[in-house]
Amino acid sequence: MFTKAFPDSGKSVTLSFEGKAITVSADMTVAAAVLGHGAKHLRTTAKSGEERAPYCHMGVCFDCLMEIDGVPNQQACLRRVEEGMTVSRQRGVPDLARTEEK
Amino acid sequence: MNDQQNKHDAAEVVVLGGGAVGTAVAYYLARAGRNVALVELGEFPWGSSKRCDGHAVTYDSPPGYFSRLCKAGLDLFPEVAADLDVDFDFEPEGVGLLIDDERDLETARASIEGKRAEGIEVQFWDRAELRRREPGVADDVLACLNFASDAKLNPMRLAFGLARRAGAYGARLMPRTRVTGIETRDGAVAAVLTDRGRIASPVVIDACGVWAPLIGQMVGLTIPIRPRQGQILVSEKLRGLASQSYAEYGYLAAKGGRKRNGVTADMEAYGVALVAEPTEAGTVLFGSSRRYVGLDTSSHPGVLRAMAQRARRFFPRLAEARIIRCYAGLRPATPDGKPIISPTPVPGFFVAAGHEGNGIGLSLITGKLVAELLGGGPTSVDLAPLRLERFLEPPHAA
Repeated sequence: MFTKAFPDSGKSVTLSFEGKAITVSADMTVAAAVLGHGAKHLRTTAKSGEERAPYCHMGVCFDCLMEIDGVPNQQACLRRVEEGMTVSRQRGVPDLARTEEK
Repeated sequence: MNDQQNKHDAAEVVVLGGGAVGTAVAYYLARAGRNVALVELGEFPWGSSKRCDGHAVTYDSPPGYFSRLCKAGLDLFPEVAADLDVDFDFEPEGVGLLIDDERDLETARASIEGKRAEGIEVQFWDRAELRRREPGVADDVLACLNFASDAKLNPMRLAFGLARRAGAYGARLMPRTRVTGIETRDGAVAAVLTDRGRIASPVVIDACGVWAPLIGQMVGLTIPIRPRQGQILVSEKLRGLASQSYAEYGYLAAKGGRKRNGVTADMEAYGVALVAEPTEAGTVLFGSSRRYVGLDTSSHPGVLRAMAQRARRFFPRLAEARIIRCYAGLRPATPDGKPIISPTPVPGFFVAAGHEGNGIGLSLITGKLVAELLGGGPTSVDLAPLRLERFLEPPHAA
């Protein structure tokens, strides 16, 4: 039922997930990588702060939103892992005022 | 069996059109105890009421009849919100008009007293006050005229809630029903013919917005309403962009023909002016545009680009946000910009349409006035300026 999103390259990459280094196959999406490392949720909702995890894995449900390399609200199911990537959960909605301060 | 039943269908009033205006008309009539049928081609809501923004405002007209009508319309929302069992997110949190042209400062200040005299709450924020309240606004915006009681709401939930409550008051809701004709007897309305059968009724209310002229044709009436397309961009859910709704003062001021600061040829051609509405859901809606392109509701990349540029001019932080959706809707525009709430030369045929960009804000007052009109007593607002006759050719003397 499940196949890899990208052709098998035989390579691996290391990225940072919530500050922790994880090494995964280079042929995965970010969503698959963090789920494979035991993450139960990828984001929290804006209003109630409930935990959410990917549902569709094809760019439709927006429940896989993560902050990737400092950019908020990225769809982790559509992004391929890259060496040195910094990934963290999207907590609520992005705050543009905070982005401006950076 | 259904056919047999339908042959005997009858109503005191048939309302055509299940947008905000039609559902409000059905709601007020049903609440007054009238036997009403509400007919809609699609679902509740359909048409322009599900392709618009959610502003119910007084800011966009100079003091006078239309401004007072908008105020009367706005004032009805709290009571109806309490009566419906659908929460339509009514928030009278204010809409600010952003001023970025020195020449507008005095005229903006001068306009305050006239609006206040109509009971409309207006504040003038100078640059420091605006920066304090809204740090995301561009540095060179000079001031803001804040209409503190102007409101936003969810128009889809409003119309859905009105239809549902009308149903609870006894109205017969007829979604997915196409009107095929209107039967007259001795020149007066006798029945509405639909693809689901005939509804005998002496009164028809044409609340079909941009499609109202098609219904009018069925009884030989020319109703001068043209679709004026508007497009909308929707941001991802975010914080820190704007704490309330805004529009640009310059567009209202420039209706006299003056060129606005920083406006491109595309913005002029497409009638682009900033409107920003942070919604209850967390997204922000951005408009606006004005084009006559028939019944086309497709999005146009050039218009979207011009709208995005205009929005960024006032809210630079938007550069960091993603746009997740866009859509277009059709404002039902009349030649003088005012709606038609009126009887017609055809006895029993009434029009409640042509609200252009104010259909959501004027929905409830339209429903209330139509109910008063049919009740035969005096209406709470003088309807003479809204009569269809103002557009009809005077008969030529033989």
